[in-house]
Amino acid sequence: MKRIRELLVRTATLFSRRKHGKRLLAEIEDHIAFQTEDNIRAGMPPSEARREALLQFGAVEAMKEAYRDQESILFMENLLRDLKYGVRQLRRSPGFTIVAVLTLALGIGANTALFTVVDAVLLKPLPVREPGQLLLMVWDSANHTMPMAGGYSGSAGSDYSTTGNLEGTSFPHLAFERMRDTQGTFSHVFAFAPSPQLDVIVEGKAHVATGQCVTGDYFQGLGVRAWRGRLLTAADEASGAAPAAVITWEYWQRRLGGEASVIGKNITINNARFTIVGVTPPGFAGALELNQTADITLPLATLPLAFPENPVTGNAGLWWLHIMARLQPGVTREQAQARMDPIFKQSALDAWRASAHKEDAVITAKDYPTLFVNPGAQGDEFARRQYRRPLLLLMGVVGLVLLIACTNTAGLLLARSSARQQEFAMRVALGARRTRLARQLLTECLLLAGIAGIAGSLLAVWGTELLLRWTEWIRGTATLQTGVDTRVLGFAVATTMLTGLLFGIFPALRAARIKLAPNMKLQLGNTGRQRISGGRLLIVAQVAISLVVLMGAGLFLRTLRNLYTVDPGFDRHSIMLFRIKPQAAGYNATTIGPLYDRMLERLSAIPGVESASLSRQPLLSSTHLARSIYVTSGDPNNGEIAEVNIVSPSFFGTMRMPILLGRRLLGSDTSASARAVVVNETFVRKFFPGMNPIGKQFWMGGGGEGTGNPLRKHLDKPPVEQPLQIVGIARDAKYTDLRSRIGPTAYLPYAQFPTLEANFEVRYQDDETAVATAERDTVRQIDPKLPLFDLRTQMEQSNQSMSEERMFANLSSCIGGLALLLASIGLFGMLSYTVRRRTPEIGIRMALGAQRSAVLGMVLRESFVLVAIGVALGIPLALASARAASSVLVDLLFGVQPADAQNLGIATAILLAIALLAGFIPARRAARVDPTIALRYE
Amino acid sequence: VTDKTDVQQGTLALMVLKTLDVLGPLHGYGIARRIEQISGDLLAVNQGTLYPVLLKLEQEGAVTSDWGTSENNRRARFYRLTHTGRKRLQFEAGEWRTTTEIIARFFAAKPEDLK
Repeated sequence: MKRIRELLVRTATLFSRRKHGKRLLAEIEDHIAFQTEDNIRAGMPPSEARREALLQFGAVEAMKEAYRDQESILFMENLLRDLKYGVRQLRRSPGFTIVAVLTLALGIGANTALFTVVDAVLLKPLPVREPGQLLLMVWDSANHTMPMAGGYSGSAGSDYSTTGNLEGTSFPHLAFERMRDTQGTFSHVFAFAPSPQLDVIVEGKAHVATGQCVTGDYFQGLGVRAWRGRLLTAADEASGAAPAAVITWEYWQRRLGGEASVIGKNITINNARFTIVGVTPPGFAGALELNQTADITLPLATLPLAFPENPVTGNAGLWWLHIMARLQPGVTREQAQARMDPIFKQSALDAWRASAHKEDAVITAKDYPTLFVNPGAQGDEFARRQYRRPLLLLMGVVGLVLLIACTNTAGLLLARSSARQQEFAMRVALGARRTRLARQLLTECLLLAGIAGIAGSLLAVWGTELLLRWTEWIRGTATLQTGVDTRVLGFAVATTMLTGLLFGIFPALRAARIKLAPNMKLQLGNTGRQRISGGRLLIVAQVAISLVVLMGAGLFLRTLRNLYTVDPGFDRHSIMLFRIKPQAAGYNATTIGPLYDRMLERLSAIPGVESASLSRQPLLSSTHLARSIYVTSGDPNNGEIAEVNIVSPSFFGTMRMPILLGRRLLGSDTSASARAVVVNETFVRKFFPGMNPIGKQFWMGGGGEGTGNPLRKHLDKPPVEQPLQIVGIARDAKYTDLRSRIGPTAYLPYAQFPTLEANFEVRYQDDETAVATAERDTVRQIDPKLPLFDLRTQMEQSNQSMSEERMFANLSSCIGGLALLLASIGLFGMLSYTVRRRTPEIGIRMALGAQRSAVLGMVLRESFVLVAIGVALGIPLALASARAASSVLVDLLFGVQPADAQNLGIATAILLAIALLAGFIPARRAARVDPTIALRYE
Repeated sequence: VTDKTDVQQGTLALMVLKTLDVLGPLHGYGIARRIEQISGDLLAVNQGTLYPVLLKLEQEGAVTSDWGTSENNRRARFYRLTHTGRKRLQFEAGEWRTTTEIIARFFAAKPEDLK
C-alpha cells in the first residue's frame, strides 16, 4: 500500500514539478534565515552569520538533486530526458534522420498498404451478423460428368490440392431444396445466383445495373437488417406476390439520388415492373464473389419475369445456385457435412437424371461429387482463392523490402553509434551506467521508428489508393471496404515497433560493451575497419535481397513487355468499340438483322469513319463463345471444342484481319443461302490437316459462353442441323486475351446466326471524340430506346485485358526501385561514413605521395567488393526463390522463365551500376581530401 | 563539527518522527535543531539531507505539512505527525529497541558466556 501511495504521489508531483521546486527553495531560504538569526543571537556579526548558516546547511545542489530524486519516478524522468535528448540528437543530424525515417516509412508504408488490400480481399468477413457461423457449400468431384452435364454457371476449377479434383460452388436447385427441407442441422439455408446485367428504367431514364436473385431466407440467413424499407422474405417467393426488388445503399446513392421516396417506387427491369421495397445497409454488397456486385436483388421466383428467354429455374439439370447456411446451435461443421453429403449426392443424381443428356453416359461411383461444408464468413470466396497466392507472393516481396529497410537503418545506426563512441565513452566516464546508455539508444531508435511509423501510415493510405486502382482485376466493379481499420493499424504499429527493436538492438548492445580507455583517446582511423564489419555484412545482405527483388521486377516487366509486343493478328489501333442490347428495346431474332444492317450502313457513313463492323464478342475482352465441332455428322466421339464468333461481313476489313485463302463473308450469305463460315489457320490445322479446307463442311454442337477456359469436352449429342461450309481462311488472331494461345476459331455471319447482343467496331481516321459523339447520335437517330454502353477503344480494351500483368509490373517495379534506392542509400551512407573515419589515414597516404586516382580507386574498390559479394550470394538466392515460387509465377509470367538468365544478368548489371554510382560520391570526396587539413582533422 | 557522527537515512527519519511526536508541529529548521540538541550535539545533521527525508515521509503519509507562522513571526512550513506516522513510529521504535538490545547483549557478552 505504502509503495502504491508513494508512486501515486510521485506521479502527481511529476507534473507539478515547478511548484515543488519553488517550495523547496522557499524552505531552504527560511531555514537559512532561521539559522542566521540564531547565529546572530549567538553573537556573530550579521555578515558572518549568514555565511556560517550557508556552510552549516551544506551543499544546496546535492540536496536539490536528492530532493528531486525523491520527488519523481526515476524511470519516467529518464525516459522523458532520453526522449528530449533523442530528439535533439536527431535534429542535430537531419541528413541521417531524413534518410532513416524515409527508409523505414517506405518499408512500413508499402507493407501496410499491401496488408490493407490483402485484408480486404482475403481476410475481411461479410458485414453481417456473426459471420463466423456462416457456411458455404462446395462440391468436389474427380471429373465434371455430373456437375457439367446439364450446364454449369459459376466458378469451378481445380482445387489446387494434390488430388487435382474439380471444385465449384454452383449447385442445382434440387440440392438447395433438399438441404433446406432437412431439419435439425441448419437454422437457415439460402441460395443466390448472379444475374446477367439488368436493363433498368427509372422514371423514363434507362441505365444498366448488376443483379442477383435470392431465395426467401437470404437476408434472414445472412442476418442483414434493412437500412430503409424492408428486405425480401419468403412471402416474396409465393406465387402471386407483387414483384419486389431490394437495392444496395451504394446503388441507391449513385443512381437514385439517395431519396427516401425510393421505397415503393416502381421501376422497370428488363421490361418487367418491380417495386423497390428496401435498401440494404452501406457496405453490404451481398455474398457473391468479390468482383460480382448486385445493385439489385430480386426474388428467385421473379426470374422468369426478368429473364423470360432464359428459364434457368425450369432446367433441373443446371448447376447455378450458390448455397450458404447457418448452423443450428450444438451442431458442428463436420456433423453437418456428414449429414448433408448423402442428401447432396442423391440430389445430384436426380438432377443429372433430369438433365437432357443423361443417356449419353453411364454414371459410376467415381462420378459422384462430394459435398464440403466450408466456412462462409466471406461469402462465396471460391474464385478469390486464386488471388491468395499472387497476393501472398507480393506480400513476401514487400516483406523483403521492409527487411532491406531495416538492415539499412541498422547499418546507418551502427555507423552513427560508431561515430558517437567518443561521446558514449565520455558519458560512461562521467558516470553514466551502461544500461542507461543502451536505453538511451533504444529510446532514440523507437523514436525514429515512431516517426517513421506515422509517416509510413500516411504513405500507406496513399499506397492503398494506388493499389486499389491497380487491383481492379480482382475487384471488377466491386467497392472494397478498405478504411484503415484497427487490425491494419495494429499491423502497422507492430511492424514499426519490431523494426525499431530490430535495428535498435545492435547498436545498443555495442554501446554496452564500450571500453573506456581506447575510446577516450582520439585515434587515427585504425579502429574503423573492424568496428563496422557488422555494417558491411548488412550491405552484403541488402545487395543480395535487392537482387532477388529486382529479378522479380524484371520478370513482371518482361511479361508486360512481351504482352505488349504480342501480335494479336489484327490491327488494334484506331478502332472504337461499343455494345448495344437490342433485346431490351424489344427486338427479336427476326427483327434484329435489319437493325444491324441499318446501323452498320449509317455508322460507316459517318465522316471520318473508314468502316464499321459487328461481332457477338468484342476481341480481347476475356469472353468468348465455344461450340463443339463435328467433322462428320453423327459421330459422338469427335466433338472437339472450337471458339466461335458471330460477325458482320465487314469484320475482317475493319479489324484488318487478312483472308489468306478463299473469300470473306459476304452480304449474300443470308438465311436463305447455304451456311458459310470463315475459319482461322489453327482451325484448319486441327480439323482439316493437310487438306484444302475451302468447301469442306462441318457441324456444330452445343457449347457455352462466358469467361475463362472453355469447359472441356461436352456431353453433347451430335447436331442434326445443317452443316457449315468453309468459304475462307482468316489469319490467326487472338480472341479472348493476348496471353492465351490462339485456338481454332470459326467466324459465322450474323445473317445466318442471329445474335441478340452485339459489339460494334468502328475504324476511324483521326478524331476519336468526334467519332464517339457521332456514333451516339447515329444510334439515337436509329432507335432512341437503344442505350449505348461500354464505349471504349480497342486499345483500351486490349490494355484492360492486361490489367493483372500491368499491376504486377507496376507494383514489382515500384518495389524493385524501392529496394534499389534503399540499397544504394545504405551503401552510400556506409561508404561516406568510412571515408569520414578514414580521412586522417587518407591524408597520411596522400602526404606520403598517394595519387588521387589511387584513393578514388581504393574507395570504389571497397564498394565494388561489397556489392560483388552481395551479388554472388544474391544469384543463388534469387534462383532458389524463383524455384520456390515457380508454381505461382508460371501463371503470372508470359514469355519468360522464372530463372531467366538474361533477366538475372540485367538485374545484376543494374545493381552494379547503381552501386558504383553510390560509391562514387564518397570516393570523390576521399580523393579531394586535403592532406594538411586531414592531418589536423582530429 | 568534523568529528561528529554522520547520521544514516533511515535513522534520521525515525528521529524526525520522534521529534515531531514529542514536540508537536515543527518547521524544518526546528526539527534539525532539536535533533542536534537531543543528541547532545554529538550528531551533526547535514541539514540539507533533512528536506528530502521530510518529503519522503510526507509522500509515505507519515507527516503532513503546511505553511504557517513561526514563534518569531516568520513564515515557515510546519510538519505534523499523522496517525500513520505515529503508528509507524511505535513500530519502528520497537524494532529499534529490539535491535539495540540484541547488539547490547553481544557487546556485554564475556568469553565465558560464549562457551
